Parts: sequence; structure tokens; C-alpha cells
Amino acid sequence: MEQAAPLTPAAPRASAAEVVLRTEGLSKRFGALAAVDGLDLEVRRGDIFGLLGLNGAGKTTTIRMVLRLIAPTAGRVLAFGQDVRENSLAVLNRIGAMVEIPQFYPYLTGRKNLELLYGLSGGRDGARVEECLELVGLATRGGDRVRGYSQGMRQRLGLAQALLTRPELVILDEPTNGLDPQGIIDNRRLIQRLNRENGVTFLISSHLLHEIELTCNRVAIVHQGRLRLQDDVKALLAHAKALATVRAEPVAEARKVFGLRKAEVVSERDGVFQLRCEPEALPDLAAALHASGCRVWELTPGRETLEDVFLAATGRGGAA
Amino acid sequence: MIARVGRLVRFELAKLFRQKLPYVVLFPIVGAVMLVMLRGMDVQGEAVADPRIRNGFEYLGTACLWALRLVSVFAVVIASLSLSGEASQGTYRMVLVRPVTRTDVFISKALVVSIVVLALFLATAAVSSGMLHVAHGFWRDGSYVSPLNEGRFTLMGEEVISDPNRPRDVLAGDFRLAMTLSILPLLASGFFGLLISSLFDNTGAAVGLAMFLAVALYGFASVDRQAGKYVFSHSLEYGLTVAKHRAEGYSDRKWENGAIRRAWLVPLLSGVAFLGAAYAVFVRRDILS
Repeated sequence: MEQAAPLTPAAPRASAAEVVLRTEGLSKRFGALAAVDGLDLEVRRGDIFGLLGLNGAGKTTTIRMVLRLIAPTAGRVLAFGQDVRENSLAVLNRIGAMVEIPQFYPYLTGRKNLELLYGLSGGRDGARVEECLELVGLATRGGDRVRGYSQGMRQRLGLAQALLTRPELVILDEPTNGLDPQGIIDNRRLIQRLNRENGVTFLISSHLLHEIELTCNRVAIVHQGRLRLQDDVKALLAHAKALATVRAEPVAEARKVFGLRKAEVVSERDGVFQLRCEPEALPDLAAALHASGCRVWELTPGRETLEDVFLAATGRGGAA
Repeated sequence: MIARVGRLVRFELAKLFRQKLPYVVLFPIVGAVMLVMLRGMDVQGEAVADPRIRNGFEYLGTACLWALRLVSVFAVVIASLSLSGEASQGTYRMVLVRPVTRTDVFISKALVVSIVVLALFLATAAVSSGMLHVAHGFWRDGSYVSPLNEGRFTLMGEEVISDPNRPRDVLAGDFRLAMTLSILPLLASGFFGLLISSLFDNTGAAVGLAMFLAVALYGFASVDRQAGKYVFSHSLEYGLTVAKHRAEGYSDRKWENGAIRRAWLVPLLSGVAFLGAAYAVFVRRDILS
């Protein structure tokens, strides 16, 4: 597949004090396969940082290396300014994590699972366990055995265990997997609330572009193990081009008008055109369509979304 | 580190005792002891001139041998579930992202395997000695007598006489030594299971291979007696067999220092090697499941 060039230059490096997590040339090979290849990420204090990529892009492998579940082939991970492999205890004390679909001991209740896991971090405060169950909406089901939990409930319990120790950095790998729409909204609100009120920094991996766009303030796009893009979401979208959706008939006549007005047709399906043009040009375009005898059913201004940025970054724009 | 390992051991024990396995395991072990002790199985006594000369220690040897063979099987099973179980369930992802090192986790797993093996060993010892005293007890004067038979010198309801050449204290001493010698083979069996467990993400594969290898080794040791002396699990046989034979009146059967040394040295060295290899595998492996 063709390698897409980064859309924006890498953001300037933040000072060490601001950086909560940094990977430097992080690589992992499984035989001939380079799952992660020279990844340089930078998560700053207070970020809700989205790690975006297709399935198999290397997101989970990166997170596993950050949490030292797997050893990098090359490069290193610095968390809170310390090398994770050399200072794992000090670092992991300040991190909460959920890797992929969380798995618990099925013969124990949700509450007991949390109590035992909290105990491993030295925690004994039963009230904190209740608080976390409450936070994720499992207070009434905490006494049930985990074997009876749905995937969404396990996911929420996973989030609860990641929050037990009041970590400064929370790493969530695909946190919305298995959640229903209300669960996704609740999850997003909780993350944003903890970030806003408690200053918790989040690193969230996902392939759900819309969710990342709504939740995160910074994002990195990883494709085939390589970093394609890393920037503020707002900055990325500020650079995004204006789009317009137009539905006009007859289609052939409308296409002619777009050609004459130099409006770039990005896509066309069932008489609905996606045009790349500035919003200021839309009134003239509407007038031209009208003058050529076209009936205009829809004319909606818009902008490129993170999805468009992602597709461009991963070289998949043409396939869309 | 001690505090972290202590927390992990509590964590492991809390999980273990909320499962059915440890309780289920107790039934066959206790059952084997009780069956042998009550039915008086496998008592030979050919060397005894007078068949009325009998004592409960003859039964005890067989009971303990069968029960501890079962304990060694369960040690292999429980240990082979230990590391592979976390990997196959995906629960390592919860444990290893906490402020604990892999060394802490490994030490705690090895300790818990040891605790379980020792608990099963103690259960065997307690049940068998309890049965010895209840069914085949000794009277204050040292005679063999069952308290259930109103002070008559009986064994399993039959009147017997005690043998002055096989005093109680000597036989009890034989069994204390035999039981002590059987601890290291049991632990080595557990550590063997731990090694196999460290190699697999799949519990079925780990338990299956561990059991197959353990049974194959035991079978090989039983067939080739010379080589069998150097098989860790087979060291279990030596002490209890000698103690049983001595209780049965084989007066020419003596304890041999060389064999005693081998009976603890072989499982000790094997156990250390298994632990070392399992640790080396565990700390280096990537947790992908």
C-alpha cells in the first residue's frame, strides 16, 4: 500500500515537565513483521490523547510495550520522565490501564475482583471500590459474579479497575468495545469529567474516529506500525478543507456546472455530490445551478472530519 | 518486595479458595487414606510368623503412599494451571499493569503452589494419623488396640497381639522420616507443573502435557529401577516403602544413608532446576493474550 506523507509536521516537543508519556523510536518485531516501527509519541499532562489506527496498526502492541507486558525490540518508553523498564514500580503506581477487552476472574463478583486488584496496588479502602463501581454505573451489579456480566459490563468494570488507584495517567485500549450507545456516551462523559475535574491524563486507543474526535484534544494516527500524524485535534481540523453536500437534478447538468465553477467533486453517489469548496462560494454555486435549470434539493456547507484526515493519512482516501 | 509478594500471595490464595478445585482435590486424597486404613488393603505380612501379630502401621504405609501419589498428581495439575491459567484467561493484563514485578508474581505463584502442596501433605498426614489412632490405636502400655473395641487388643475387629520386636516408637519414627522425605518430591512435582505452565498460554495444553510427562516419568522410573532412583517424583516411593516393609516385619529391611540422601537430593536439585527454568521463561515472555 502506498505510504501517505504526514499531513502536518510533528508538533513542537513539549518540555519534559509537561510530558507524561513519551515513546522514543519504539519498535516491536514479531519475526519478519514490524508491528511497531520507530514510534515517537508524546502525551502531555492534561491531554485526552487518541491513538488512532486500523485493526493491526500497532496500537495495542504499543500500549502493551508502554505497560511492559511485552518487551520492545528497540526504543524506549518514558513515563513521568522515567524509563518504564527501569522504574516500572514507580511508574505503574501512577498509571491505571485497561488493555483490550478486560478479563476478570469469572467465579468472583465484580466487587471482589476490584477489591483483590486494588489490594495488589496496596489499596484497602472498600469505599474507593464502591466509588469506582458507582462511577461506571455498576453499583447495583457489583455483587454479581463476573461470569454473568455482558461484554459492556466487563468493559465498565475494566474502566473501574483502571481508576481504582486515582492514577495520573489512564491508558484505555478500545474502551468503547461492546458498549451500547448510552454506554459510549457515559464513558465519554466520565473521561472528560475526570480530565476536567481531576486533571487525569488519558491515552485512548481506538479505531472509532468519531468517538476520538468527540473525546480527545490530541491525536496520533498510526498505520502499519508507523506514526503518520500527531497533533491537536483542533489544529488538524482547522487545516481541514471545507466541504459541501449538494443534491441537484439533473445530475449531468449539475456536474457541468461544478466543472465550470471549478468546484472539486470529491464523490458522487445517487445524485448527491461531495464538493470541496469554501462556504463563501456556495451562494454563487447555487445561483449557477439555478441559472442552468437545475433543481437544488440540498446544499449543505461542512468541513472535513477526522475521518477524512485519517483516510488521507493512511492513504485510504481513494477507497472511501 | 516482601510486602508486594505478601499481597500477591493473599491475592492468589483468595482466588484459589473461592474455586471448587482445592476442595474437590481433598476428597480423593482423604478417601484413599480412609479406604486403605479401614479396609486393611495391601498388607502383606508374609514375613510374620504369627498372622495375629499385626499393627496399624502396616496399613499406614499403603494409605500414605497412595494418598501422596494423588497429592503429587494434583500438585502437577494445580501448578500447571497456575501461570497458563492467567495467560489463557487474559487476566495477566490486569495483574501485570499494577505496581508489581514479574519476579514478585513468579515468587508468589511458586509460594502458593508450595502452600497448596504442603496443605495437601498435612491433610494426608493428619487424616492418616487420625485414622491410625482411631481404628488401630495404641493403648497406654504400647499395645496395639482400637479404642472402638473396648480396650481389647484388636485390629479390624480381630484380636491381635503386639510384636515386641516392632515397638510403636520405632515404627512411628520410621513413618516420620518417610513422610519428611516425601515433601521434596511433592514440591518438585509442583515446580515441574509450574515449568510446563510457564511455556503455554493454553491451560488444556499445559495440564495435558504436564500430566503426560509426569505419568510417563513415573512409569519409566517404575520399570527401570536403577534409572528411577534419579527421577524426582519417584523419590516419593523410597521412604514410605521402607517404612511400610519395616512395619510389616521385614526385619532385614534397613534404612540406607545413600538412598536417603538420594531421596531428598534428587527432588531438591530437580525442583530448583524446574523453578529456575520456569522463572527464566516467565520473565522473558511477551504477554500477548
